Amino acid sequence: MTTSYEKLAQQAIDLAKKAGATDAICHVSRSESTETEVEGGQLKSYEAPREQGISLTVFKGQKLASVEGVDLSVEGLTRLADRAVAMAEYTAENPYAGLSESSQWAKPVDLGKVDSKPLMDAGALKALAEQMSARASAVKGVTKGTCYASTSYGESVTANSNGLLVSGEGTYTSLTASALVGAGDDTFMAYWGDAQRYAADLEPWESIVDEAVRRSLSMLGAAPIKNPREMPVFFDEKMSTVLLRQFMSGIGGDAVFNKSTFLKDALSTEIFNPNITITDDPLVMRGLGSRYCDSQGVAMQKRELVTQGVLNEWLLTIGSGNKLGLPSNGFASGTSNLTLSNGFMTRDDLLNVEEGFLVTGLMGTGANIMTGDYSCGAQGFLIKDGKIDRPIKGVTIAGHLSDMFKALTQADDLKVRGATNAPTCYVGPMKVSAA
Amino acid sequence: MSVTNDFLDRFGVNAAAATNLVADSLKGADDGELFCEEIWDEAVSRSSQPKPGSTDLDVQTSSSYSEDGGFGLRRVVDGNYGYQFATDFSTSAIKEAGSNLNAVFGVSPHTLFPAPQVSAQSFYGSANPLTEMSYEDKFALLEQVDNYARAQDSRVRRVTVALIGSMSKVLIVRPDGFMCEDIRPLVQLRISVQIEENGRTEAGSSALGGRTTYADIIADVHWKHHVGVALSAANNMLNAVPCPSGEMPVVLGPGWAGVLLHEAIGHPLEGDANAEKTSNFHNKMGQMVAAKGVTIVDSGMDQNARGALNFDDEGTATEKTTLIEDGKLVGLMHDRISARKLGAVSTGSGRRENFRFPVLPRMRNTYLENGQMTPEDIISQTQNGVYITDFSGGSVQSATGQFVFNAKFAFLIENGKLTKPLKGATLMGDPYKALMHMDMIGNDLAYDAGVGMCGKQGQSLPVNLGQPTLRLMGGVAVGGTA
Repeated sequence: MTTSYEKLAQQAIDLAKKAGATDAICHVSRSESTETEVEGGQLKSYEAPREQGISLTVFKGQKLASVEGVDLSVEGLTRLADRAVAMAEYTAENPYAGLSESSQWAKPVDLGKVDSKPLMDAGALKALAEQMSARASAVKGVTKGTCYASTSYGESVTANSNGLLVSGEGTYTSLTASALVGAGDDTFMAYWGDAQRYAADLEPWESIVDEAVRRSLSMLGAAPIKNPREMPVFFDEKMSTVLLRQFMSGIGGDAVFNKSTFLKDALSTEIFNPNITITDDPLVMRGLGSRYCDSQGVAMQKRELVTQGVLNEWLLTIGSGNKLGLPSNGFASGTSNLTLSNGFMTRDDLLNVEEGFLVTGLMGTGANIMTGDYSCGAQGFLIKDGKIDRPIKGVTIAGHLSDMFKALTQADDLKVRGATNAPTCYVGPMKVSAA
Repeated sequence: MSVTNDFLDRFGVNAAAATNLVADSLKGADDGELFCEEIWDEAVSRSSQPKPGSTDLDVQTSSSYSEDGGFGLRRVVDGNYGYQFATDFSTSAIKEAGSNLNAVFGVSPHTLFPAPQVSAQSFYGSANPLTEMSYEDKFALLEQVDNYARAQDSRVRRVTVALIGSMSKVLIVRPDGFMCEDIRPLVQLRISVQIEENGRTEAGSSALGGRTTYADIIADVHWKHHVGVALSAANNMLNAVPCPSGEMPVVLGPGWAGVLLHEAIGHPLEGDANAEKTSNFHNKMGQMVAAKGVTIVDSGMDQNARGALNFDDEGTATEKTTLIEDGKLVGLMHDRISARKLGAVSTGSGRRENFRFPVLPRMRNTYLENGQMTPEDIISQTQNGVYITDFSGGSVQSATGQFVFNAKFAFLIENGKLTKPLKGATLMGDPYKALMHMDMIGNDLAYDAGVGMCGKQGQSLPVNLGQPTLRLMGGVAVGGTA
């Protein structure tokens, strides 16, 4: 299949040039998935997406325009190419845009992204989700266990008029469990899941279900805290990855150029404490975020974005790099496999405070990347004398991202489960307010 | 029933053959349909900011266009469903989907559920916005808006303006011969500004739109108003003081603040959450769930509204559904599946983002009806509290309905007067308590300006929402940074 997509991508570029484009970049992709959802032992839904599409950006000198379509016939490609070239005429010259050149390209690397075993069929996925749902529903206190099993395959080709031609494919299988517990106002539903390129790499389905159930049941009886006060706040590993993603959105090249991030002057400065190193490694075998080049064809490599607390580089594309006078460092498709380094303290030692708040869930859109102001709804557990005291819900935590980053201290419980990973973290004293 | 031949020609069949194809593909199902769709989208945008170390503007523009389309086949068996879609218009792909779904979901114990009545309603025109304006005119408009914003306030650093239009054409074919076709336009103008003062930057934004043509939204009287809204939002943030915390009276302004009702009360009143008993309202039908005087409706029938639909994505005519009447829960929003599970009828609320997605019960235009009080009286009768007219976002926990919203535009109320702008204000509570504590309702019902986007289970849909000024006397907590 990929060979024919390579031809299609090159054909689209030829058609754009024929229509008057000086340059072009094209992506062609196809995917298919099988997704099952079982609720209370019964197959509730089965979905089977079949998708293909093309996107094309054309340059007329430094004027450009972008089009997308799903019709991959010659007529469809011609229509899109003609339209794109006509549109480009009306845009302003963009001095920053450009295509990658051969010196920036990567040699193809096999990153083991395709599970060689045939994909599980609908029947096998359904059976797995049924087993999961039955295990969740059998636990005392669980009203309903809803579980999902899905698998997908995708392939894509990227070509540009400088001669770039990259193709890739990948598989993806995921299992997710949720458990509904409690009644009335005291109801909770927590999710837990795992996603991997290889079905064999998945966390055992039993432990996925057990974790979803444990997370739901542990919140029963949750209540707000009575008096608003400042206390040490901790993020569990899931919430720490949320904070890590928020940091990433603050170091994008465009955001820096547009001054829409509070970190705009932070390059080469100590944002975190010296125990913090943040690494992006695109070349991990079987990694969920693995790829050897970005969507512009620029080679990717392992990078320490933060070393001992100091920010080393912005996340740049060709365009945002040109805006800041820097070469692209291969982040046109975002980060790949991103990790916040492990700490030196056990989680128990980290949480050993007189009174604190361990956050396991965040709500709302309270992180303002432009100003750094932070105010989010939160739930989790009150810690007293280093021990979990009781579940908490209905509180807000407030502070400033720069203070949270400075205070950030990790436990040693880093586990790699998705494309972005972090251990349990202390994020500093924060104001905790209650309903 | 007559439909145009546009779609049928794509598949190379006539109406009778299309019905036969769908009947064969869904044999043994008790409901379902073939949903065909073609979508055309375009966007032009302009952003400008000073070049580094200069007062000259660096102007960037962009222009994009997309063609999308395909079919989705849905097989419903006893309240559960299989769904296969493809970016394809071939009868062979439909047949393949049919046999694939049949293998997973077999024969239903029920016979085919009766088709809806074909709707003759028309709440929007069928003119295509994408052929309406030349690119010269579009970019000239964006430049005019940009220049106007800069002329209003010399501290403006960055301006971004975007004009977005789309048109979707849908055809629904059921196994029983039911067919209907619709053309759905949607346009939007978005404005955002960044103000810089003493090294600090704050942003503000506003937008307008609807299911209409560009001509309806590009008059300067409209966009000048929205430039003003964006500028004053950014300006307020520059002058804002940290918000206090605790339980206190909260006055919500008219219009967009209705997003709280949408999230916290609208979603729990969708049929699926009640059929599955995951909504806190599932056993409260006929009971008082809100203070007297609270009436909340969801309508798909508002002319040119973003959430308007002639019929929903299962072919059911839309309606104005009363959800809460004078405090009592009287209705839910249903698609065909949730209606059957709860012994109700579809309210024309079955929607999908596009042909890639199965139908879910969704909101259209959800709003609180007017009360008696003037907004001025509501504020002056509130000794101390906060006044919020805009939220930047929020979320609701589906199991408990507990909500958290981040205020974007908020003021302190001191001695019955609006005083300082506030930053970092979050509003948190439980919808059930909030409804019970809604003690004052204004007479100034306003809708959002036509930009609402609602997300559910990974599907985004255009909606409207609205409310008059109202007061929550308890039941919600304000979380601030002061």
